[in-house]
Amino acid sequence: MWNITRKNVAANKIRLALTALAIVLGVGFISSANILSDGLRDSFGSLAAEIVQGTDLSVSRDADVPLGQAELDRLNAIDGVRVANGGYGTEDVLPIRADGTVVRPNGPPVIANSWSTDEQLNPTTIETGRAPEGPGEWVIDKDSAEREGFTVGQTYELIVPTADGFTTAELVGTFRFGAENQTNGATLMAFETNEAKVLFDRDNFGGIDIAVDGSRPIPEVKADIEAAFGADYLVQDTADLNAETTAEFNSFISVFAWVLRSFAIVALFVSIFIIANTFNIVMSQRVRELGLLRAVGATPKQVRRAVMGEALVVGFVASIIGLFVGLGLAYALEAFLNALGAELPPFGKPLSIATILIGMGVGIGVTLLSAWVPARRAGMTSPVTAISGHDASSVATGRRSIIFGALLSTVGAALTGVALFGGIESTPTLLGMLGGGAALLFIGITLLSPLVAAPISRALGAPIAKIYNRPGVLAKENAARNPKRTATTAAALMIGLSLVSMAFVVGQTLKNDLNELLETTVKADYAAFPQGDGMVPIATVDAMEASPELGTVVGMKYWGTEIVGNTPLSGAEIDDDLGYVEVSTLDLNKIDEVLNLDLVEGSYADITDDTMAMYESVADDLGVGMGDTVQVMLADDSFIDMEIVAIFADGNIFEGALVTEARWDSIGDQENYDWVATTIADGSTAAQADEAIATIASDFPQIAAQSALEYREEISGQVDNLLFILTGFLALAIFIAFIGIVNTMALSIFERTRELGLLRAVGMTRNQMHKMVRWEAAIVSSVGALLGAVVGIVFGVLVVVATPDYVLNNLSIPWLSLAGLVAAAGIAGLIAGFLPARRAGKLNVLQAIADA
Amino acid sequence: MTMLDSPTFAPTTSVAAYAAAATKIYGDGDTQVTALDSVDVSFPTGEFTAIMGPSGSGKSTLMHSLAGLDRLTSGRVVIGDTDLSTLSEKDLTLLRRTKIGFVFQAFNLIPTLTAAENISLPLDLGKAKADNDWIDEVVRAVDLGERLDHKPNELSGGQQQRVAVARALASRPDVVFADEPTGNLDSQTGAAILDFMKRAVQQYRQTIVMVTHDPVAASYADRVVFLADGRIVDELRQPTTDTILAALRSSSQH
Repeated sequence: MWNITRKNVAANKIRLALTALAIVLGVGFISSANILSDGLRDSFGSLAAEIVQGTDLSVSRDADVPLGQAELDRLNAIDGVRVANGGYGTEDVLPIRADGTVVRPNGPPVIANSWSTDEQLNPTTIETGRAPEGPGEWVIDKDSAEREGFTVGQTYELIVPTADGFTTAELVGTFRFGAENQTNGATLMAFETNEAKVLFDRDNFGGIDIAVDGSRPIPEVKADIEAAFGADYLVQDTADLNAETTAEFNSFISVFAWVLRSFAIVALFVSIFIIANTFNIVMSQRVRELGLLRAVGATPKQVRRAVMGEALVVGFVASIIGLFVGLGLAYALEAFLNALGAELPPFGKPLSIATILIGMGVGIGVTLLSAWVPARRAGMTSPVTAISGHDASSVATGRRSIIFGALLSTVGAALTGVALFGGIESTPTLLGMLGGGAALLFIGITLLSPLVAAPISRALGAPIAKIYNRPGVLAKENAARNPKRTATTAAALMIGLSLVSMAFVVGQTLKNDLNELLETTVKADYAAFPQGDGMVPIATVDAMEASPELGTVVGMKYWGTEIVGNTPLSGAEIDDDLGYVEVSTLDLNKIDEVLNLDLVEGSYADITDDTMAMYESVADDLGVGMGDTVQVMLADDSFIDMEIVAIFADGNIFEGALVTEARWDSIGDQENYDWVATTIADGSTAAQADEAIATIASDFPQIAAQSALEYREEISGQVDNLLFILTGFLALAIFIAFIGIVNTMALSIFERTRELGLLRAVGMTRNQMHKMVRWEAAIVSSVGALLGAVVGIVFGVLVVVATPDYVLNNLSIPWLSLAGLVAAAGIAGLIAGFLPARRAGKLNVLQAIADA
Repeated sequence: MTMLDSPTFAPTTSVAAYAAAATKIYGDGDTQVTALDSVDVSFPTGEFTAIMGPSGSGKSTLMHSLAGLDRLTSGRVVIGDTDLSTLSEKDLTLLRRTKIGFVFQAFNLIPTLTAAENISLPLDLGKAKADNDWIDEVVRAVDLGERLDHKPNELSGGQQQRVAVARALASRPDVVFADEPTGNLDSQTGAAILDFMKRAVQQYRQTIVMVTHDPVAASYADRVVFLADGRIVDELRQPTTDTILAALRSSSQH
């Protein structure tokens, strides 16, 4: 008896450790998200304070109104204003190093500003050299100068958003930002104000900063400005500016933190299954002991409390360890993201009270939640079981949990369905419904999956039984013998893999749609795109036209503007929050040479300066059609009537409306192109054209030029990268699921001690026993992966169907990748089975038999 | 049941298994216990031997050592012509698979395998070609009919033990060890199992060594060996329940 007790404790040690590990990892991830966001928030908070320091008031445009020299003069005339200073800023200026390479933002931005001559309004201070005083001069922050190798007194080329695309300027000085040039990794540059206006291609000031003279209280000055300028201008004081800047940083930080958190939530959700399963198995193994407790007078409540107490201890200890793991993870994540090129600013890793409370609360809460059902079941143990040894675990399975599972699945599916197809506008509600629906669906499927676990296990195990004969047969039958246990263990894996599979389906569909779109609509041989956020300069188009190897060159421009039809816009075609429609243009005479747009009605020839072609779903949304007239907002905020003379099919390269170049110039305010398409000239070979394009691309580092095939490959690659990153994040949940497999296998082996002893006695070698256990683990994990793939395909199909056709259209399922995923899960199961298998192999035959 | 009616007696002179100076000591120092004290015993081929003795007499230890489940402190055990003390763990396992059969008191069968699969388990674990005629004969002798394709939990206790005996015989081992094979059965079912074992010895010249403390069970054997305090203290040939009881009385006074 002592022997059994000792073994019980030993088995429990491993069980407790493995159970705790799931919690440790989940709490660790949640905590690291909190630690990272706290640290980044502190760091960016002080940056925000430094940026706005010295600016007493600031005026910016809140509508399409002018903000130029006239407004500056009016502000300077207001009583109490010491100086008003208009400034420009852009991220479209990139300096070129002496060796010809471009300084590109890889994480922190490269920002160019106009130089403020007023000391109070300028957060930077000249360190070496002098300030920029006119055309052809620039300054850079001292750390960037050193890092990128820029020397004061030298002349450099810079990429600028003008028609030429380049400018040449002498570096006349370096500066520091704030006291210690704490730019959080950003590269800062400055130009003289009028030069900045030209180089940044600006009509209006980005904002006007004001320093007061102290003769009147700031709120009074603010009120005067507001009265003079009206509601179209936004007037902010230092506190407003600080709050705005901080909020901008924080929204970026919280997106980042919520991405981390949502993966941690998936991982913790998976942990619930594992912990519940572990407690369930252990309780059924301890049924005699529990029966004895009941027989000697323990009430169900006392037994339940004893089990919950155990869960509390596990949850508490694991959560504390998890907090420290979170701290470690925060450092590791910082290093990892920096290694990827994010160059995060240096930041502290504070373990705040909130982080501790959330981590402990979530960890302990999840453990208690998981132990609740097993504890209730333990409490209901009949005292008779102490004598009869009746297995309590087999009682509670059956119809009730099937009905409950069906109910949960239905509610979950309904919630998910409403979320996907119900046209819900609010993103948090949508995400909440999707997440909640998916969670219910997962629990429901888990409760239902014992119905299919045994046949699936047998089907998957059949080839193994063929190959490995008796150990294979036993592996198969062992996986099938307790469908509920196999199902719960597999469910943990199902969750992670269904999300991965869904992403695979959506990703594959996206790739195919893009490929098809490009294949059918683009006739051009090459496309030139801006690198990063910029534009393709006119000079690039000129260079392409001048190249004899290249044929037709067509530049495209997009601009969002308001279009009024018969009904207001509601769908996702809206370009941004303002309800704008994207209006595109290109040389309509050459359109057939580079594009093959699917015209439903009308023809290009009918498009004049007062007519347009419209995208089908936008026209539907606006309640207009062929021959109808819509009002289009011009750059000066006036509206003109335009007739619709052509309609494009859905799934085209342009998303809104198509107008002539002349008309576009009165709508949009942009000289350079969004992208440029070109063809191989008649009489030139593809190789010659390739070379010509490559030369132009190296002359204009602000663009990337690719052949149609290269472009398609790049898009495929980008989708693949996204899938890879997503899978990487879900790896935590998948890893925890494998811990669950190890855990269940270890417990099953403990349970089957006598049986394993018998097998060894009648001649099963250790090697065969290893195989048997490892293949059982492989079958269980394959069952989970298969269920996950099926659920993931269903989810993926729903997402594709629910998403508008011009985003996701022709469903395509990557069968091969999904099969690979299931196979990989099987292999991982073999690996997960390693430790339990070793344990089974080490079994003392004599003791195992004596334990009967 | 044809084989019952065809006597195949042959005098047995060869030895299926034997132990020489078999000694097993557990623990050390003050807590040292001598479970087997230099035991010499041999089991001729085609003989049904019962080992009896009070609790702690060493009968289980003797059987486990003979069966290659436990290793002796000193002395040796030979099965057929193989000295177990020289074997590696793996070779011991392979020997158990092919040369030794087991019947335990309870829990003899793998719950996930059918009766038929349980019977052929030791053979299926190996790659060696099974002797199908022999297997067929054993399966017929078990007389389970359609129940052969049933899982153990669908069989009665007596049926389960018959399957266990058939499993032990399936590889035509040098010797079958049975540890209280009828201990969990009522006397009638137990008698049927013992008959089955006895037939196996008489008809197929199998060698069976059975540990029991039931004199009725022991009376089915050709010979009874009595153990006390780790030593062989008595031996009976062609025993009856009465002679066994008498021997037990005298050995307990011993």
